[in-house]
This record gives sequence, C-alpha cells and structure tokens, in this order.
Amino acid sequence: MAADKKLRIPQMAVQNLRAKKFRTVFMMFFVLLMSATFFFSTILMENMKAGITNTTERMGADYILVPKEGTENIRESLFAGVPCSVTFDRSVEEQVRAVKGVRRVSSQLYIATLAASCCDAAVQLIGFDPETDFVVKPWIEKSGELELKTGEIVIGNDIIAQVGDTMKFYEVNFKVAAKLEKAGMGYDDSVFMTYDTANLLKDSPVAKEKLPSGEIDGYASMLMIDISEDLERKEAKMLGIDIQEAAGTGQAMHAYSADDLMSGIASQVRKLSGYGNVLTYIMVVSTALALISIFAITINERKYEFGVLYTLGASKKQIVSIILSEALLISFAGGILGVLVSYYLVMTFKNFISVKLGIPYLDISVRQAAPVAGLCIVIAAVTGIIAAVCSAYRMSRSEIYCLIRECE
Amino acid sequence: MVRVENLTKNFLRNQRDFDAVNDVSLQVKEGEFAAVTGHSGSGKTTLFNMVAGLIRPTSGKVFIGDAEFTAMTEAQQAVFRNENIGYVVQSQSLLNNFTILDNICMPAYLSRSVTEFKERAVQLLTEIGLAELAGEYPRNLSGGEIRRVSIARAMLNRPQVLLADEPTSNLDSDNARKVMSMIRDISNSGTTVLLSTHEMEYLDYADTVIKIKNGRIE
Repeated sequence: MAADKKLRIPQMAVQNLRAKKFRTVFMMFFVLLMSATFFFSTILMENMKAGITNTTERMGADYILVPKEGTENIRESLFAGVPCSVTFDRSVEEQVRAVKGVRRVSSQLYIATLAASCCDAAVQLIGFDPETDFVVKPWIEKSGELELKTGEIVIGNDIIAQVGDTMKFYEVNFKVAAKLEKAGMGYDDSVFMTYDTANLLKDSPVAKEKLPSGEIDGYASMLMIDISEDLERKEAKMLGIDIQEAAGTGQAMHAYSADDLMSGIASQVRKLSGYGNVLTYIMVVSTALALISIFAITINERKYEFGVLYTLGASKKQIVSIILSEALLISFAGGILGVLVSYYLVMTFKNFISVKLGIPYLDISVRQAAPVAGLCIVIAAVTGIIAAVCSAYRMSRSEIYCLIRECE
Repeated sequence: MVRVENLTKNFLRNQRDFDAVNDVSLQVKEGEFAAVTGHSGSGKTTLFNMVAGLIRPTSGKVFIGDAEFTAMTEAQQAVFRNENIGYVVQSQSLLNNFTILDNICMPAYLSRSVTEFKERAVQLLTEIGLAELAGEYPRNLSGGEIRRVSIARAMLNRPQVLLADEPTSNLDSDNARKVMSMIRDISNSGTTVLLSTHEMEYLDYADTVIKIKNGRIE
C-alpha cells in the first residue's frame, strides 16, 4: 500500500499562518517596512556613489584648473547639473601650457541658461575648443562620428529634445546634432557646443543683458590639463603647484585632480551613506526587537497549542521547526513585498526623487536592483529567524506540563 | 502494561517543598482498565503527566511494556510517546487551525515511522459517529464531540497505553457515558487504559479503581 500524504512542518506553518490572517499580516508589515527602507536607502546610496564615479571617470584629465571662488559651482554642475556661470581670462591657458611637464591643455566655458522665455530650458551650456579638446570629443564620438558645425549642439540625455530639433538659448537658435547616452552625472543636463557656437551668444541682446558683460569671447571656466606620462608620481603631484603658480597671476586659481575636485561631494555622500547605514541598522534592530516582542506574545498565547503537540509525540525540534518555519515565511514574504513596494515607488517617483534629492543618476535596472533586493530579503529573513529563535528558545526551556497547564 | 515504581514529584510551593505525588507504585496489566480517583489536587494529573513523560519525576521509575520510560532522553521519550502512549488531556485539546481529520491524523504527521493512517483515521471518525465532520474545524463541534475526537486522535497510532485525564469533565451525563463506553471498548480491544476521574458514577466502567489522596495511593 502506498504511503499516505502527510502534512509536513512547512505546510503546518502555512496552515497556522492562514488561520490567523490578521496576526500574520501585522507581523509581515513590520518586515515589509524594514525591507523597503533598506532597499530604498541602499539604492539611493549606490546611485550617488555611481554618480561620483561616473563624473570622476568622465573628467578624463589629470588636473582641472578652476577659479577658487567658482569651485563649488563647478562641482555641483558636474555632479548634479546645476547650471553655473564661472569665468576667468582664457589667456591663462597659454601660461599653463608653458609649464614643464604639461602635455595638453584645453579650456571649457560654462554658461548657465535661464528658466525664462528666452531659453528652452535652464541648462548648463559647455563650450569647448575642438582644436585642443581631449575630454569632450572622444566621449561625444562614442555616439557616432561627429563634426560639429557652428550653430550645432550636442545635448545630454535628460534634455527633452531630439536630433534635428532646434533649441533656443538667449533667443539664439541652435540645432541639435546629437544626443548623448546616459552619463549619470551633470552632463546629462548639459549642452555641448564649440567655442564658435558659444560665441553666437555674443550678439544676443538678452545674453548681453543677462550674462556678465562680454564674458564669453576670450573667457573660460576651467582648464583640463593632461600631464606627461613619463613624470614620476612625486613630480606629477608637485606639478599641480606649478600649474597653480603659473595661473595665479590674476584671479586665485586652484588645480585639482578629478578625485580631489569631487572629494567634497564624495565625502558628503560617505557621510550621508554613514547616516543611512546607521539608520538602516537602527531600523533592522528595532524591527527585530518588535518582531521578538510580537513572537514572544503570540508564542506565549500559543503555549497550550504547542503543549498539545508535545502530548501527541512532537519533539522539541519539531515544535521549534514549526515556529521557525512560520517566522521564515513571514519574514521572507515581508522581505519580498518590501522590495517590490520600494522598487515600484522608486520607479514611479524616479524623476521626483532625482530632483528632490539631487541624485543625477537613478538607475534601478534589474541588474542593479537584484543584488540589493537579494540582500534585503536575506536580512529580512535572518531578522525574522533571530526574533523567532529567541521566543522558541524560551519556550523550549519550559517544562511541557507547564504549557498544558496554561489552559487547565 | 504500565508499571510505576516509587514515583515522587516534589514541587516548590510558597517557598516550601510540596510532594504532589509521593512514593506511588502501581501496575496496570495489558488490556486492563484502571481508574484513578481522588479529589481535585490529589495528584492525579501530576501522576499522569509523569507517566506520559511530560514531567520529570523527582524520583522513581515508569515502565511502559518492557521499556523504562523514565530512563529515556527527552527526544527518545517524544518518539516513544508518539508510538506507544495516547494521551487525552483534561481540557479542549484539539488544534483550532486544523480540520478534524487533520487533528486525528496529527500523531501520524509527527511520526517518522507511521506511513499509512488515512484509512484508520476515517475508520476512527466513523466509529465515533463523526465521519461527516471530517472537514470541519474544532470551533464547530460540541464539547462531547471534541472529547470523542481527542480520544480518537489518541488512538490513531495504536498505542499500548491510553491515558485519559478527566475525560468526562464538563460533559453532560449522556455525553460522559458515550465517552466512557468508547474508552471501555478501547480497553476491550487490548489497549491498557489509565483514566483519572473524580466522578464516582463512572467507576463501574473500570476493571480496577485506584484511590489517590494527598499524592499517595490509599
């Protein structure tokens, strides 16, 4: 005769959970909250770190020379696309080029546009010199061979326009020649153009009125500097000082490496990430404590039920298995639901979060979300199990007759 | 066969030692129906809990058949209890989250060795006249029905011994007699029965009556 189908421990656990729906949903909700918070904060931090890495990598220069006063503006423009206008005399370029050990120098001009009728969007215009450029062109050319003519622009991925469209800045029309791939930094909200194209703004009465007078032709916002490869590390480090000295005849200037330039934001993110981690740990611990309390209360209420199972020949191992299975199911389901809810909310409010929190790059592709989701679910499951183990341990230590006496 | 030798259980009550069961020895032969009677608090339940392995005695031994039950580890006792002892506790002991059929099958679900049980479960349900309630939950059953299902469940794994602690408490006389007849039938079929009661009118069902007072057999 074939063996009869038995109700196994996991099935018993499911049946117990289904029979007490309110209690199950209540416990699941705690785990859901923890999982959703953990997923959300981790995704946010990962994206901020990715934004900094992208920005640093895309700089493509050994040194970046910027006016001391405009450093913060440049940083914010590079990282988050906050438009700024920072200028210094472009003749500095020649002085820096003359410094021994400097291989290539190219200047860029940052012009902020306005959220007004004169401009289609408030974005960062970035002018570059195609003759000397070694930073922007190689990156633009990734999107295809491109020879920018005067009047043509290349737009960042987040700018709402398509190739062939016309965009207006300071009442001057520009033709969109290419649209870049997502960069995950301020470049996504920027518009690239050659100096010749940028100079078209000179003739705009609006630009004359709104921009600092004449600060387009002959001006730059930063110098991208490439140094000789045969320099030793120490010499390369000292070269920054030489560059600063060569440039420092007028306005106070500072030469940064790409890492140094972004270090301010990086340390802010590290701090934020630290706070985020602390909050997450607090959340995990408080959820665990809440779950321990709920488990302790419910298991206390169910002492008689477990006592009856003992009288039927259940071992302590089987009773503990039932409790742990219930905890695992609750925390696993809560963990998955938390991730799904969080993922759905981030997807739905992606742009809002991006703008409000100043995160240029909110990438929650499945590839990026999967490991974080896995981690959240594991943490939720472990938290639930720890909570249940505490209650199960307490119960398994009491004498069986005490459990049955609860009801007698 | 159940043999109890010099069984004592000492509790601490109000910071003073208290012997709930004091040096009790008894023997119930195979297939015998023994009723343990005494007032409330006389030590009946403590004695039954020790025989079932739910309380560790302070001293003394319990033998079920040839096996010294008190010498076993907790895990060994659980397996032995599952296979050899059917225990009906004093109050409502059905599991509310499971159907009547699942409740009856529970000892088999918890057992590693029992593999065929469905037919017996249905047969037991039919014998107690509740076959049509197999899919119901305990909340839909009366007190008498719950008690009969508890006894049927205790008998699922064909135990050597049935321990029934006050099986007629809180039942009307009609239901109480049904329960006692059922236990008598179980004894007649060869199972050793140890039943506790303080209701004298049901002692006629037993082969032997053991009186207990203040933890001692009189």
